[in-house]
Amino acid sequence: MAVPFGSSTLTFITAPRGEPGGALPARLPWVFAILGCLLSIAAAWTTEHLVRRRRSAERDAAQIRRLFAEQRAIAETLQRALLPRETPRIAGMEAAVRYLPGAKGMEIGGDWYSIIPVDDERFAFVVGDVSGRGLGAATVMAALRFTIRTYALEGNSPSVILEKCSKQLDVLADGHFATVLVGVGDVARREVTLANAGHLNPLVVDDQGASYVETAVGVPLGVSGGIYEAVTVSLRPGTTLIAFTDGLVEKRTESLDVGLKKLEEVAGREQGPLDLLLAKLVIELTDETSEDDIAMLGLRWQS
Amino acid sequence: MAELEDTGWSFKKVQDDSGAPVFKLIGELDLSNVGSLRSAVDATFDEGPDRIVFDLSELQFMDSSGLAMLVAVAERIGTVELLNPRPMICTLIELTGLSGLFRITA
Repeated sequence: MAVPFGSSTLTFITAPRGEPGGALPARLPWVFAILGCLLSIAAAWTTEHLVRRRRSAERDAAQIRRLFAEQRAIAETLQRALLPRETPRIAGMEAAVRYLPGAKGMEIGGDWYSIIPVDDERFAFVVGDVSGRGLGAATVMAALRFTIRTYALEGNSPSVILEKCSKQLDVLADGHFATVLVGVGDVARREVTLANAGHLNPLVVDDQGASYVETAVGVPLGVSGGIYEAVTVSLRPGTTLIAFTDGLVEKRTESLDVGLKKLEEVAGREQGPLDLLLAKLVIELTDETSEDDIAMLGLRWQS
Repeated sequence: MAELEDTGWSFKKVQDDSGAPVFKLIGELDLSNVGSLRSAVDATFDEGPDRIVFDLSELQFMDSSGLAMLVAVAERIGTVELLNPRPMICTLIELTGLSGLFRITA
């Protein structure tokens, strides 16, 4: 800057002491460099963290799947261990049984079947279903299965068996009830006497078609005031009787009536060996949405 | 996982004109959700009600564990009223030989 000073001029030369605009512009490259570094580190850390989280989640999911499969396998093993290992032979009769764990079931169910030879002429059979699932239901099932077996072996009638058993379960104390169908069959007379504690009626199939036996349905075991009346039916040679639990006919979106009707129709048109008939019924009646366990028992009088 | 599927289940407790507790059940009642309902009903017993009402008009499905809960309530209190159950629930109760335990009102 030039300022007139007499004959000459004074020239001022000014220079800012610091950077114009303060200290920031000079440090800006450093600030950017440091910020950039920090951001990179944060991004890298976040990425690594996310990758690690994802891997860990994948590991957890695999672990959960493994545990789920394991628990399901345990439940199934236990359930099968509680069911009779083999079907006893009864002279003049063909018998078949089937048990299928529910498609969604992780916990053990409370369904069971039994065939019990009583003496030379008679045998007993049982199909039952304890409400709910889990170890509690399975424990009730095991206790009932062996209790009923004992009463049957003593030669009690189906009504007496159910009346005696009804005192051994209490829905209030145990949290479960059980629907049970008990039959005592006389091979030579081709007669079956049935008593029913809240269970679905059995199906009778012969060359004329299929129909349900109308039993006198009493309250399930575990409910007070159970009175069980017996019904006796005569069956012609070659006739098949099928008892089952509700898993075969139950769907969340349909009334039990619908499943029962379908079972009647399918059983009425299917022929062939007993074992195959039970297998066909399962295929026709169930699908991937069937979630409950199924226990089935078939008896056929040889002609 | 199947067990965690949302079945749109819920319930609420209200009172009818006589002051009796009414449990309105909505959606699908099964083993996965019966526990919370049982706790709520058990708590109601402390109030000493003469009767308990279950409004089933919006109950779409009930499995055996749900039915066992209703049966246990009926065994404890004597009178359990089921309001407006759908036909499939009525069929279940009938086929299970439990019609005598409940007073079903439309």
